[in-house]
Amino acid sequence: MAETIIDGKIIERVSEIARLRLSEIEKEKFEEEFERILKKFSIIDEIKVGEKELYYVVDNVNVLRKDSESKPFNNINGIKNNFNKIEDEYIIVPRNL
Amino acid sequence: MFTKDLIENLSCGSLEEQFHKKIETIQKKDNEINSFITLCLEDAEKSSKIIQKKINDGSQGRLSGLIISIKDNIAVSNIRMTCGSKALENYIAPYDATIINSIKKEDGIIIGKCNMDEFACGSDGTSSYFGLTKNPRNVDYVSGGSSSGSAASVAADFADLSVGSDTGGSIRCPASFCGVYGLKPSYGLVSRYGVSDMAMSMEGPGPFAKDTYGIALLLDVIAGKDPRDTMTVDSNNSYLSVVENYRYENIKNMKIAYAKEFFEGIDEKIKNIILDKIGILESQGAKIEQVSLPNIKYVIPIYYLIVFSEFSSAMSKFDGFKYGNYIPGQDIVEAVSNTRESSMGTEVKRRILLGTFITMEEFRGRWYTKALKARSAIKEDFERIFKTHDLLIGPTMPML
Repeated sequence: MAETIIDGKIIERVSEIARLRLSEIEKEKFEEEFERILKKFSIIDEIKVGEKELYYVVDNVNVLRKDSESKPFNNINGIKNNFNKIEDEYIIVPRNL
Repeated sequence: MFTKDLIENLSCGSLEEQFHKKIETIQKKDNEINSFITLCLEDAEKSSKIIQKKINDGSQGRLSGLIISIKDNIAVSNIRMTCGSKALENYIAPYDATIINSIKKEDGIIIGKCNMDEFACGSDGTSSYFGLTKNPRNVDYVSGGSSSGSAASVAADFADLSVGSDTGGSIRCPASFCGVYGLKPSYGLVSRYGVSDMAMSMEGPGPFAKDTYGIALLLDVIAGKDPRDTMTVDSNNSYLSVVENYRYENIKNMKIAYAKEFFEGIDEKIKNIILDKIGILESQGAKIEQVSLPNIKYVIPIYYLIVFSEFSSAMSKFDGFKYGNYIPGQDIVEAVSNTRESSMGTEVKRRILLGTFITMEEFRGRWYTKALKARSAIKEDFERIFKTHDLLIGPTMPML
């Protein structure tokens, strides 16, 4: 029997980090599914990647824009209208303390 | 009707008449197909009147009044954009995606926003919060996904062209299932500015049409460098002129490869159709050769490992604080957890959790970093084939 990859504790931690509350049923379901999925994915252990580079899609890095005068966004109200709670010019978010 | 004839008809007939015919078809059939989440008929009618005037004095753009539907993860200014999720049920896009700008400039009429798998997570069109999309060819079948409504709206003649997005088959799969043409452009060819991201190192928008002419026409309009998406590259090709200048003789002496791995475990009917087509190409003078892509068996795990990682990061912005569905809680952590719990479907949750797991400090070496490195092995396989061959062909989907 190969080692298990996922257990209940890991699912708890992952759901906490991902900020995703899970019901007990979901936890059990995902634990079983993830174990199965990751077992299948373990096939990638066969690939010898030792010398391989990390893959990047395009070679250029740090694409900098030319300095230019900034153009103000012309639909600020369009953004504001999506806000859930707003007071004057400010968004109200939940308390952190 | 073919796209080219359609444009000719529009240039001498009445755009308004065409437009109303489309609306009638949609009202008659889309209750069942469910290819649209939001229709924008008022705006569409306004633009059809403006474009008609342009046609009358011969100044219309390249899309000259064609009716176009847009996947609901692409921003169209002042129109609701849901990504197929409850999380964005009431979100109104405040600006146009770059490609939407281009389509409007070339006088395409945007008729509505298309149904899709929630946040593009899925390949059958069934995970949308707004209900599944049925296949117009046979309503007992799924339409394929994630650009389910885009493919279905073209197949059902609700739209002449459509824009979807594709990361691992989200245009190609529904196009194949619905019997229309769909193309995933090379990464960087089409701007993603204004497209809700799912897996940023692989995805991109692309066209649906009823023929290659329509695909090339729409691709010409949306492709090219965009300063707002630094991954884009210049495109001076005219895909339309390539399609228009194509002659059967062009096939002669072309070297075409097909990988034997493409045919393992696929439906016999599909296998026979593809092999038939390969036979036709051979009889027209193409040189056909069977090749092998030994690393193809790793593609699915590598693809999903990368998608999960990038997706879980892309989704972290949907906490409901500024916009989108929001469920309060005693503190910030509880509020975010409540919000995400209630506004996301099972497949989205599955991918976020797996993505979080494989990028965690203690596990990412075995999963995420490894997958990124292994991606080079896949690339090498394909580079090897294209050194000696012009084309690589295969079936789109393994089953019906």
